[in-house]
Amino acid sequence: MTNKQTVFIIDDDKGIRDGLEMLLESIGLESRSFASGSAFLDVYDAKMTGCLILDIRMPKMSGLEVQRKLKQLNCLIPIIFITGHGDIPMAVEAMRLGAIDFIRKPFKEQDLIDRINEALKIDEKIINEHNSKSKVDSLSAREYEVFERVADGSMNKVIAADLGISERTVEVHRSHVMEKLKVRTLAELVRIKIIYEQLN
Amino acid sequence: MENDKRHISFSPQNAILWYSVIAGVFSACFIAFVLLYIERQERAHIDRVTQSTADGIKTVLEEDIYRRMESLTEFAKLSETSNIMSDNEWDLLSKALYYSKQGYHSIVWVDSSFHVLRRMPIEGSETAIDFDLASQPMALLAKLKYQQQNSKVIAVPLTSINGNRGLGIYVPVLNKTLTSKKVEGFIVNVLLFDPYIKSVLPTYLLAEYKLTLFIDDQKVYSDQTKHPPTSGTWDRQAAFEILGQRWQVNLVPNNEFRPFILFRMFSLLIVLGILLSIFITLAVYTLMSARNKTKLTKDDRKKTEQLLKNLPGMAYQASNRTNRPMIFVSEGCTLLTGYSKKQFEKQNILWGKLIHPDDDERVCRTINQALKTKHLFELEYRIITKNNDVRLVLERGEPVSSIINDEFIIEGFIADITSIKQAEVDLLQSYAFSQAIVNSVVEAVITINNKGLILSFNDAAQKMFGYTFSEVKDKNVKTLIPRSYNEHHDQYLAQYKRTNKTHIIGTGRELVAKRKDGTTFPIHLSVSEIPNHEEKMYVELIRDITQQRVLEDEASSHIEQMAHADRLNALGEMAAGIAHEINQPLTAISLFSQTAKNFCEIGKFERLPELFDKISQQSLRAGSVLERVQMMTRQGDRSKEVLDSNMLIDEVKKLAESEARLRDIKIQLLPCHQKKNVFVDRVQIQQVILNLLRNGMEAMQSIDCKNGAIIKLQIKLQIKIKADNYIKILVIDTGCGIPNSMINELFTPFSTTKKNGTGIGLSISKSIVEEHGGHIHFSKNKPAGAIFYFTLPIHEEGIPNDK
Repeated sequence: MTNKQTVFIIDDDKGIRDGLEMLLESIGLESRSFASGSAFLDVYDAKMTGCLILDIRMPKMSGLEVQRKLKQLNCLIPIIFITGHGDIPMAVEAMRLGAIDFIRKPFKEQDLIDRINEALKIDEKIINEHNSKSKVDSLSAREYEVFERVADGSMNKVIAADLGISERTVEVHRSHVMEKLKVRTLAELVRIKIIYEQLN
Repeated sequence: MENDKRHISFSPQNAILWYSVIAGVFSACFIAFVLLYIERQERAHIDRVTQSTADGIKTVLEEDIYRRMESLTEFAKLSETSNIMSDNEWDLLSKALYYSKQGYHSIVWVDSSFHVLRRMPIEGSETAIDFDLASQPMALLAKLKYQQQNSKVIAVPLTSINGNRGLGIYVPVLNKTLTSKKVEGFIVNVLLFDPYIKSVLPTYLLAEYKLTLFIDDQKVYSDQTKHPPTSGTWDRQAAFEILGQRWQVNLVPNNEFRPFILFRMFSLLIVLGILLSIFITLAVYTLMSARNKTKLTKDDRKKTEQLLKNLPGMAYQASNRTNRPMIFVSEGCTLLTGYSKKQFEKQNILWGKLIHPDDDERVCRTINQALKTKHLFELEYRIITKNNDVRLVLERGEPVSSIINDEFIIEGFIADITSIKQAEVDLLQSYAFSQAIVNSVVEAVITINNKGLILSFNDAAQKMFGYTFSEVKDKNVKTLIPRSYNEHHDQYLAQYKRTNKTHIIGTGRELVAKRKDGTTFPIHLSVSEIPNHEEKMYVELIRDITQQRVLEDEASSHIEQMAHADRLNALGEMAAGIAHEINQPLTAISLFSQTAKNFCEIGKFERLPELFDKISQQSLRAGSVLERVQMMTRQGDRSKEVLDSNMLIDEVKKLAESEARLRDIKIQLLPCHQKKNVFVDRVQIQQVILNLLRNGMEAMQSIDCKNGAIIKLQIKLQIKIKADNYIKILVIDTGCGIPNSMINELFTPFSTTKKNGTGIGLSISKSIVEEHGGHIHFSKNKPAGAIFYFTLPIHEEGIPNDK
């Protein structure tokens, strides 16, 4: 968790932008607003974390287009769509593309806040997953074999026999894996293994 | 002469000048000639006078000397006989001699040796001193001896001791014996030339001439006091012999003498010359005038003849008898009657016979009356020509006394007025005809002059305005117009006069007029100028359009109703967009409110004012959306106002934008580069634009904006030189376009291409635009889409729009 989570707001209506920013400020959330999708894309960075509140109907580039573009960039930020006219086909399309929610204006502020918090959690989870995967990917082939077997609950001795290496070597690999995955307990290691398997 | 003649004909005054100059030169030559002649004559005259004077002097002197000689000789004889003469006797005799004639210097008795014995006058020894008679005795004696042989008297020139010249006349006193004569002495008579000449010759002679006397070529006397003689050419001499001596008189006329004569001559000459010049000038002038007059008279006669010949009628002289036989007729008679001039003048045709029998008696009566009163007469009657045509003639004549006898004759002129009369009748008929039309039309017809004063006022006008013609005659036409419009009318006329450009002239305009009772009513006024009139005149044709206005108002309220319905319909269709427009600020307000609440909970009260500001802004925003919607729903308020056309389309754009956003279409505004005002009903015109925009957007969306998602709303200027200027408002889309089958019924009601369309949008737009004096059109956009545009007249500054 290097970056603090930020709520990004994209809406062409200044009133809405201001309102949202201030509301989030009042509940102690970091926020950044953009008047158009392209303005956001210009500053987009893969390290950004948090969630995105996106107006569907905007001139030039609509919310759905922004969503598509982000998808192409492998962006994993959860998106909450808000719209003045909630038409079903658009909502379906948005959800299909992975939006986490679709809110109609006017909305109850608390609903929105709940959704945002939800989204932030999802984001956190996604980031964790993402981190787990990359950590696992950083393991060498031998280390990965050791990791798999440790997570399955196999004993060092069994692993050493299974892989045809000495027990001592397994222990060295095991400590490297723990170090690389930044885990201290076996339980944590197991959780990473589960997330990783889910992702694949 | 040829040249001179031309001058005369060209300008008589000039010619007279030339002739006078020539006459002057002639008289100058003549005077010079006479002067020369006189000079010669005068010369001859002076010659003659001088010569005769010289001769006269000669005669006088000769005679005088002889006389003196004779008396001296007698005196000498007396002295001779009484040899011894007593002193008393001598005194008495000599004194008698001395005083009998003037000019003696002295009379002396000398002895043979020239000693003075006695002398007269006794006193005044001057003589003795002056002339020493004894001073040259030898010469004298020699002379005496010589003289003794021939003459008894001797004359000797003497010179006094003072140098004065004198003459001594010696008469010998003889002692006579029978045989011889012995000279005992002499009686000497001494003459001094100076006093002598003056005493002998008349003084006027001496005043006019310079006289010089020579004896034996010796100058003995010269008039020294006189001025030098003029010149040698005037000298004249006369010579004679006395006592054996040659006397010569030399005469030169004095200077004064000549000018005197000359002056007399000159005066005479100048007077003569002037008289002559005047006479010649007068003569020449008279001659020229006479010539000119003759020429003018000739010209006049020619002109008169020509004039008479060309007259559209005939001039005549008729004798005062039955049927008026003609003495003279002009050439026009042939054209008038068909008979020739000869026939009339030879009295083969009598005028009276030509007169139409019905008019004959009246003509005779009038002429007889005129003859009695000797007054001019004028009458119209008919004649029958050679071809048996009947013609109407006008005769104007006057009885005048004949030169030949005492009888009166009639002179006059007869003209054919058949056609004139016909034209007059036609004109009257035509006037009555047009008058009848003017009076029977329902429109008021008023003619005014260029000052706006009423010249005529037809029956309809009288009925319409309640004035009689006499009430408004020569009054300004403004009387018929309410005060608030007065200035406009004057402006129209002034503008027309200044620019010659019609504003209402020829086209027509709707105005308000005022009746006599002060009520006003709407009129349609058209003005046209009456051509070919010296002063500009205008005909105003006025139609009472009260009724028309009522109908129009009804129609327009109908349009408004329809338009309103259409607007409501449009609003319904636009509801989604409008709802969104309102939703936005409402959402924002909600957000701000929640935020405020949160801040309150955590005690951040300092942030609240900012939030309230934002809430207020968003409320206003929502309000303005509602305001626009409200305006579209308004009904019945159809007031027109002067609006900036750019502002007009900008407002429509805002209104349509929410819908455009819904459709993902952008409205591009292309305003006019100049600010042009229009005089319109804001709501209605905006409705038209909105209608067109929405149609365009719909068409674009129907093909998913595949040709682009921009619809253009543009204003163009349409400036025409002669007609009024317009703006053109265009809505240019890139939609599906209009199928060819629909083009002809685009603007007819209830024709639509839309599934849910009512088909009244465009037809209402058309009605609205036309009510505003414009036109709505359609054309195809390239490569795809449609262009709808309509025109609106530009509202010019300063010119009121009364419609």
